[in-house]
Amino acid sequence: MRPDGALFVVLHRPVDRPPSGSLTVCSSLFAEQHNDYRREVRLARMLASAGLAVARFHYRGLGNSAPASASLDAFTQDALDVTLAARLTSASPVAFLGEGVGSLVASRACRDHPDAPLLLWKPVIDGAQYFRDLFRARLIAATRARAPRPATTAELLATLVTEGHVDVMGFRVAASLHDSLVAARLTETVPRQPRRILLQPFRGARAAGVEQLAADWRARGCLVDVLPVKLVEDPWFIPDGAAVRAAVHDAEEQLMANARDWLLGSWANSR
Amino acid sequence: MSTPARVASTDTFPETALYLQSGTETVFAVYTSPVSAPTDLGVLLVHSGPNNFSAHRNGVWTEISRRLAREGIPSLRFDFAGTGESSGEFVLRLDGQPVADATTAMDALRAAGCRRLLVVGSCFGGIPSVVAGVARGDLAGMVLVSPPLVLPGARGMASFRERLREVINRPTLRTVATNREYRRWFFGRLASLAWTRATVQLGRLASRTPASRTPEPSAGTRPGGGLPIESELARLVMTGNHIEVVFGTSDDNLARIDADAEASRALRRLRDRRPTGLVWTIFDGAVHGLEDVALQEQLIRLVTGLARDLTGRRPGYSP
Repeated sequence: MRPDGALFVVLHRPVDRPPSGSLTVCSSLFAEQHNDYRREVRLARMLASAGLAVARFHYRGLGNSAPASASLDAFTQDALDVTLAARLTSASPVAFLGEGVGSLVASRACRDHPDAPLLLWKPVIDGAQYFRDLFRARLIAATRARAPRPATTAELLATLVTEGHVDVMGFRVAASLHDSLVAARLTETVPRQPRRILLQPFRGARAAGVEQLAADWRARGCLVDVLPVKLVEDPWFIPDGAAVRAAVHDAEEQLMANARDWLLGSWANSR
Repeated sequence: MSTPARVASTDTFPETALYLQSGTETVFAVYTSPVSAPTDLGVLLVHSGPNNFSAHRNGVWTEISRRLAREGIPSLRFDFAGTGESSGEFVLRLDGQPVADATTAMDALRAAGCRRLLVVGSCFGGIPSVVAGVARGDLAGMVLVSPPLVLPGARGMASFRERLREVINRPTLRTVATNREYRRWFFGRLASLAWTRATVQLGRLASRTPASRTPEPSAGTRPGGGLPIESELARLVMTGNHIEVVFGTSDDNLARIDADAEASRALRRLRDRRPTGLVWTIFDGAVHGLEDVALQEQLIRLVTGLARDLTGRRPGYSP
């Protein structure tokens, strides 16, 4: 039993051979996690069929995991513990995928694995900007629901201090998580040594900072590839309706195939 | 059912991951065992379908499961095929795979030792739950959280013939023969269908619209409106089940009922027959999508309270 409480983990493994490597997926949060969920499941199954193991998990205190206090450090520890558990099944190389704000978690977890390739989907570059946008989306949600105008961001931040948490569109945001993420910048997650990084920005506000991020990391000796994706970021609201349009489905398939090929290529080049 | 694995288990919340066979698909579920003396009631938590997974928004289903475990009530939360950890592609249907998934999950709870079931369905999840639940005799109650009782648009709505078949079938006729309240509702429904049919025909004659041509939708009425699961709901209510329908004042799904004359009439018919069997709860705000933490807490209390009531135990029961 983990001292920090049990985590909900799904380990996808190839059925016909030992895995040639393993990927730990650090998911996004809140509504974005719901919207990303199936994509991550499909990626995991695609990679397993290509001979890789993929570990997906719910951060502590969220989803099906055990209740616990949330913070960027805590989530990073979760990612490292999951990676350790996945490696018990094979001694193969590891990699990390961060999606949305999970990019901040994945890039930190990477520090303990200097050789691990890092993949980032629609990365959140600035934690403070992430929360500014999340709180703004709350106002839009209230307008959509014809609800009374909710508290201002300033009032919300004051509540965060006094209550220790706030409600944002049906998700409980803990002060410990907010405070740790607000202080986090992807550009400052300095890779301690050259490593391979794949940035896959989606269409949306976050894409604007990706080229600068790539330039910063290249200046620090990293091998950075940027492959923009024809999908919208869609981080704040869970849409109604079941049908995934064919165009979206095709773009997702392309995104996942690019990630798979890049990852397999990275490990092939490093051998 | 494949080999179970422990998930997120702690000493307080023993939970088991299950992979259940639902037709050709594999449905993922989490079973939460009771931590005090078990009751004969099991609670099934059904999420809203697309873009959702077993824990539901903000882990509301997980929280309900763990609170129920303390009361000695086992529960199961699952992913429809094509959602969460399950296989397949999700299809928004009132029959077929979603109903099979709900049935499979109910059977898994029965296999775990539960003799009676309380089913909690969120939004769309309530609809296949009702359809699956009506075909069995082990249901004790249902909580439908902002269900789409009137589907937006006419697509997917039943034709007159389909609706007639929905009303006149073997299980319905059996209940008609044995249940007086249901008999009264049944003939009222039949009369209503006939009246609707006559009105449409008279309207066509008046406007000289050919019968083969679909009338244009108007602002007041939509072709094929009404409650697609009225018959099933009626049968559940008339046969002694507790059905609690929960809406928020600003839910679109509630507004659609108010805007649909036939749906409103149908609900009045149901409520007029057996008011004690159908409870209509309206919270202030938006319940749909569980987008408010305070309302989530009210819903959690409602579900755990109803489950406790159905077991006959007092709050904080300890053997």
